[in-house]
Formats: sequence, C-alpha cells, structure tokens
Amino acid sequence: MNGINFIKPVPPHREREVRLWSWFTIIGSSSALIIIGIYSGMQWSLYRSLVREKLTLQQKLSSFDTVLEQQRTQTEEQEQLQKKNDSLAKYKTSPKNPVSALRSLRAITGNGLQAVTISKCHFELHVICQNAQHATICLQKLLKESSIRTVKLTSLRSNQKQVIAIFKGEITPQ
Amino acid sequence: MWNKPKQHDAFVITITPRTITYSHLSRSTNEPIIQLQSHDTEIFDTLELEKLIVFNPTIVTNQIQNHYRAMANQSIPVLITLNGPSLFAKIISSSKAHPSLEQLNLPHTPHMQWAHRYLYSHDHRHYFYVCGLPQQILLQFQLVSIAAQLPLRLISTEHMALLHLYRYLSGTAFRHSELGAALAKRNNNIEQLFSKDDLPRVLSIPTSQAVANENPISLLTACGLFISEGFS
Repeated sequence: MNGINFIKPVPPHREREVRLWSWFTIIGSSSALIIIGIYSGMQWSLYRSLVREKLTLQQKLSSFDTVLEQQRTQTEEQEQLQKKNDSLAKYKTSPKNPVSALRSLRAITGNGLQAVTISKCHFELHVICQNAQHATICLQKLLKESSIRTVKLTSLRSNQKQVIAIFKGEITPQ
Repeated sequence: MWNKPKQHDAFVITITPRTITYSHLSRSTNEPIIQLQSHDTEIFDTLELEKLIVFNPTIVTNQIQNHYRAMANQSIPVLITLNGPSLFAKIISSSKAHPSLEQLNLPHTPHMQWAHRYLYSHDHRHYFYVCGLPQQILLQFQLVSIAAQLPLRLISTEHMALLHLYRYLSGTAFRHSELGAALAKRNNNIEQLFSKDDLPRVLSIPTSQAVANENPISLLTACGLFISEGFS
C-alpha cells in the first residue's frame, strides 16, 4: 500500500545531488574566476611595465629626431659637395682643360705675366717685359710651345721703364 | 565492520479543524520502536484556523515555526497530516480492480486534488480509500511551510496514516481481506481499527512527556505518517 502524498517534494538524494552540484559549480566558478584574475593581473602587470618602458624610451629618444634631421641635412650637403667635386675632377681631366697650356704660358712668361684671358681656344696675355727685345724672345718661346697653335704680338706699349706686351693666339686642342 | 546506528527524525504536524498537534518522532536503526521526543497540542479558539482554512497565516506560521525550532534543533523533515470536513475521505467500492478516478463516481470538483488506494475486495467488489483535498488548502499549507522555512516532505490525510500504521502493526500477517473484515466489523471507521494497546507497541513515550490526556489517535496518526515515509 503506497502512501498518498499531495505534494511532490524534491527527494533527499536529489537535494543532495543539487547541493553537490551547487558546490561544484560555486567552487569551479570561483576557481575559474581566480585563475582568470591571476592571468589578467599578470597581463596587466606586463602591460604596465611595457608602458613604463615605452615612456622611458620615448624620453631617451626625444632628441633622436633632431639628430636625424641634422644627419639628413649633412648627408644632402655631402652629396652636393661630392657632385661638385666630381664635376671638378671631371673638368680637370677633360680634353678641353687649358691648365697645361696655362702652366706652359706661366713657365714661358715667368714673373712678368700680369693677366690671362681665355675664351674657348683663344687667349690673351698681358706680360711686362724689360724691353722690346725681351718681348720678342718671349714671342719666339711661345711660338715654339707645342700646346699653342698660333700666337702673335698685338700690342707693345711702354710703361715707365718697362714694356707691356699683349699676345693673342689659340691653344692647340688636345 | 562496526556500523554506527543511524537515527531517523521527523516532525509530524497533525492538523484538525481547530487544533494543531506537533510531534517530534525519531527512531534508531537498532531499536524496534519509535521514540517520542516531544509532543504538544495547540488549540486555535479565535478563528485563526477553522475547518483547515488558515485565516491568520501570521499567527499560524509563527506558532508552527516556534514549535519546530523549539522541538527540533536541526533541519528534520516535516510531515503534515490533515483531517476535517474540508477533506473528502471515503471508502468507495468499484467493480473494476484498477479503476481510474473518473470510474469511481466522484463528484465533479475540479478545484480538488484526488487520490485513491486499494483496500480490499469483497463479493466481486473492490473497495478503495478515496480522498480529495481542495487545491487552495493544499496551497495555503505549502505557503505556510515556505513562510515558516520548513523542509516539508509530505502532506497526507489522517486515515491514510492510520491505514499505514495498521499494516505496520499487522506485519507479515497483513492481508487485504483481513483489513476488509476488520473494517466491515467497525462500519468502515478506520479510527476504530486500533485498541489502547496498539500505541505502546509502536511508540515509546518518555515519562517526561505528559500525554496521558491526549487523544491517542493523533499519536497513532503521527506514527503512521512516520512509518509511511519509510522511517520504520
């Protein structure tokens, strides 16, 4: 004969199961929260240390932009100077360079050379000579020079005790 | 291996139209008899409780809660048995051995909760104990137990508890036919199935408990409910 029960209570074993599962859930959730908290705390600590390190590095590298700008300007200047230097070197070694001819004129005229004007192949020399004979000797030396194609004495005028001779000619192209 | 004897406790509340009886029963697994730990009866004369309807839930709840806390110092299950004119309790015969509630010719009362149990068979008729409890009474006692924070385990009727006790007292000699003969002799009055000697057979009443003037039916009902819950 089974009893009559007008209510349907939760059986004790089910109550025990529910209590057990509740405790498991609470303990599991708490453990999960603690683990998540510890992990998040470690991550947060790492983040804070990285932020501090970043600020320190930013302070240390605050003058880096200025130095970098200076370096960039100096590099540009160096490049321009190098271009000029290259241009000069190129001009120095070019066939139209009249340096050798000028060196010959300087050697022939000595200390009497007052002025030199060069325009392409044409040149004009202003030389102080002691007298007209000395100017003629100078003309002959110039005529013998291989780097000079033609030369002639265009003017000769006296200046106090000396004579100023003006020579005009053409330089031999190399 | 030595096993510690396990003790079962229950707090039985017997509710009649104007009284509430509280009984704290316990039984150890190595003892054959139930122990009455405490017992008290309270009468409600000013309509706090009338015909099982709680008109003053505050007082009734407080009284039940106070008795529970005073008698039971731990969380023991609470068993409630009801008896009164608000209940429908009757022995009904049927030609079917396993009738449904509709086949028992019950009055059409959808506000009641019905239950029935087989008792005996006689002359090709099968007799059933049928009881019905109004839903609002059931709900109000559930609410009272919730308000009093009681671990309510069972709500049943007094007759059902007594039938359980009768079967327990009969032991292995219990027969449905014998129950039918006993009930027929007593005009189907379940309370009259018991004699004065039955209570000491099942319940040990300490001398400190003054229950001499008590109606033994309330104690028998408490024992029957205790047994029906499986604590025997």
